[in-house]
Amino acid sequence: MNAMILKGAALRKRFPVKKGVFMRTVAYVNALERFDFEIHEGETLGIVGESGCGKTTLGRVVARIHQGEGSLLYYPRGGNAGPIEAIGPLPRENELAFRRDVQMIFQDPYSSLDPRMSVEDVIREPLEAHGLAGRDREGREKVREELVALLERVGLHGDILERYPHEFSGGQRQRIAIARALVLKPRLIVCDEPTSALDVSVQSQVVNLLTQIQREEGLAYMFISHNLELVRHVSDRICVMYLGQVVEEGGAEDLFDLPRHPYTQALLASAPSWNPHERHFLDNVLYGEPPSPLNLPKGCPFGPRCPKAGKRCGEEKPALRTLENGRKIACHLV
Amino acid sequence: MENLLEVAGLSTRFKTYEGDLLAVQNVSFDLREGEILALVGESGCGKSVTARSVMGLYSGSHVRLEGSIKFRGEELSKLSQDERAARRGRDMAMIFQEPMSAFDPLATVGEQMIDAKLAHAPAAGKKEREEARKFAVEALRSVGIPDPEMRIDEYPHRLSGGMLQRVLIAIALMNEPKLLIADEPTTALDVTIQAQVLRLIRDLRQKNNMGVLFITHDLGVVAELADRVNVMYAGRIVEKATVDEIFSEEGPLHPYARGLLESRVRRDLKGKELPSIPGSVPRPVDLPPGCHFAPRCPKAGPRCLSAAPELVPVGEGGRCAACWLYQGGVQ
Repeated sequence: MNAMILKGAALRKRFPVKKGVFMRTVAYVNALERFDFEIHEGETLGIVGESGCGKTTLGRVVARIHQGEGSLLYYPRGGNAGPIEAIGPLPRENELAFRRDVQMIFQDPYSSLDPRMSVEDVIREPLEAHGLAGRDREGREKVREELVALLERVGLHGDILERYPHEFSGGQRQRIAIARALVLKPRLIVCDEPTSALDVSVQSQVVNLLTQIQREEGLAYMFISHNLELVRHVSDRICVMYLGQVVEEGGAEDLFDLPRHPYTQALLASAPSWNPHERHFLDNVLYGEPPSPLNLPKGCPFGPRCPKAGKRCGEEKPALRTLENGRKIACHLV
Repeated sequence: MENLLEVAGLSTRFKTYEGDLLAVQNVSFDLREGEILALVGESGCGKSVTARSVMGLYSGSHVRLEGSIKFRGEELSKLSQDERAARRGRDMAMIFQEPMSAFDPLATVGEQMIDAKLAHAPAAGKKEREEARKFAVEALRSVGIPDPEMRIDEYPHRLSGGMLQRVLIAIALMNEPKLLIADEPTTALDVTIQAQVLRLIRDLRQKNNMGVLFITHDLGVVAELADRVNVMYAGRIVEKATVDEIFSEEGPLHPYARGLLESRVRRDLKGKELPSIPGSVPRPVDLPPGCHFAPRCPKAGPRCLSAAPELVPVGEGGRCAACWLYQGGVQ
């Protein structure tokens, strides 16, 4: 097994809902509930689910953009010092190490790049923050050469350093965002829907780039997407989320071949068949919509939409249990 | 079957500071009653502009339309704005990509539905209003909104995206139009909700014998829903075929349509490189000469870079492609 990077246990994130003149907290949105995961170098953990299922919140808690609850153990490079608890504030030295190791790529390359920063500023900024941008003129020149090489690696021309984001198409912007994430040589990149804002013909270019970089650098991805086929393509393991909770987890191929949770089954059945002679997804429509995360149902979160739900599902929340082959499932029926 | 809609030689040109922008270039297609025709392409290919031109949503001096749009034999492009407006929402209706931004946030969904109905009944009084309300409740029920009697008095922000898209469809159906134009109606929705909305469109087509012009970038959806497919690239239709032909063993004729279909993520490619189309979609103010796809095309030759191929029939059965490969070669 490769070296561990992060291990989360019972990760949780609640957003307060405030009302009135004194902004009293009247309720909580439970965006993420009891999430456990491990991520090792060189592997990809896929996260799938529909909008509002908490997958973006998860990515942000893991990248420490949001402050979560629970436990997030960070294993620094080298591994001599032992893990560090990364929930809550960290000493500066650990904070810098964490941010160098864990980077993020966002969904929309039109809003994730500052329009007033040139490509060079965008990519150099992380280096400046970590004091790696070169102290003197010579050092800065050397860094500049590295930036050119990095741009060429992500499939862009090296001579675009002085240009601005608006001059580029969506696919090119996402490549710039990838270059920015790579510049600190991280061990884990959290990719939050990295291709969903792109044109179909450009999506696979970006996916190919990400998998190629992973092969060469051995870094890990947490790959968050609503696109089932895409998650299956890139992932080693996949977590299926519903309303902030993991309902099923397993090896990518195994999970797709034999989905056990009724929600995973419904999700796979809603994907188009790509064959006009086997039109199927219009016939197994899953009715209803996910309930609001403000007041979660008492029992299983999927219970109200589940075609197989029984009495127990409405009363008792199923725990995530481990089955054979490392498959985990939260369902009373399995 | 009768042709419901006949579009011939449609071009839509916008005046911009960067010069004239030819968003749609010489586009022709027919749509029959009870048929779902998919218009497929990526962002900026002109598919939405085509739909809006057919609906008559462009007016003013900054935009110029050419060509003929016939609806049930009547030439629409000769009509005045008022005459177009009288047909819009009554004979032909449109649903949009972002249900969240298609509503007036200050009026209840019921008010907006009733207005859509009464817009075509100018002398309507209280009695007609009440009847329209009853009709609206039934319309909401038919698109699968639970508790329509209650929901009709909700404001749009109280409904989810999937529900709003269904309400939007209900509004479009208030006057039982013969033609429904659906512009990426499920792009903003989740997969399970997408399946609900697509199923609704399919059922309504059967029930009302409506013609549907379905605009999408998602070929997977096309395979599930459409009868015929027109593929657009950079303002032009590059291929016309039935859905069976596009998804057959041989696949699409045009290299762009082929590339689009091949760039889907397939299961047997796990761990391998995905096929992709190099480069990116050209900007409409900056179109290459000749075939617009030539700079990205794996099969392009010198002829493709200099002259644009016409959309011509290939073989029998009405299949068409705009590619030199089928018109004497690329050399």
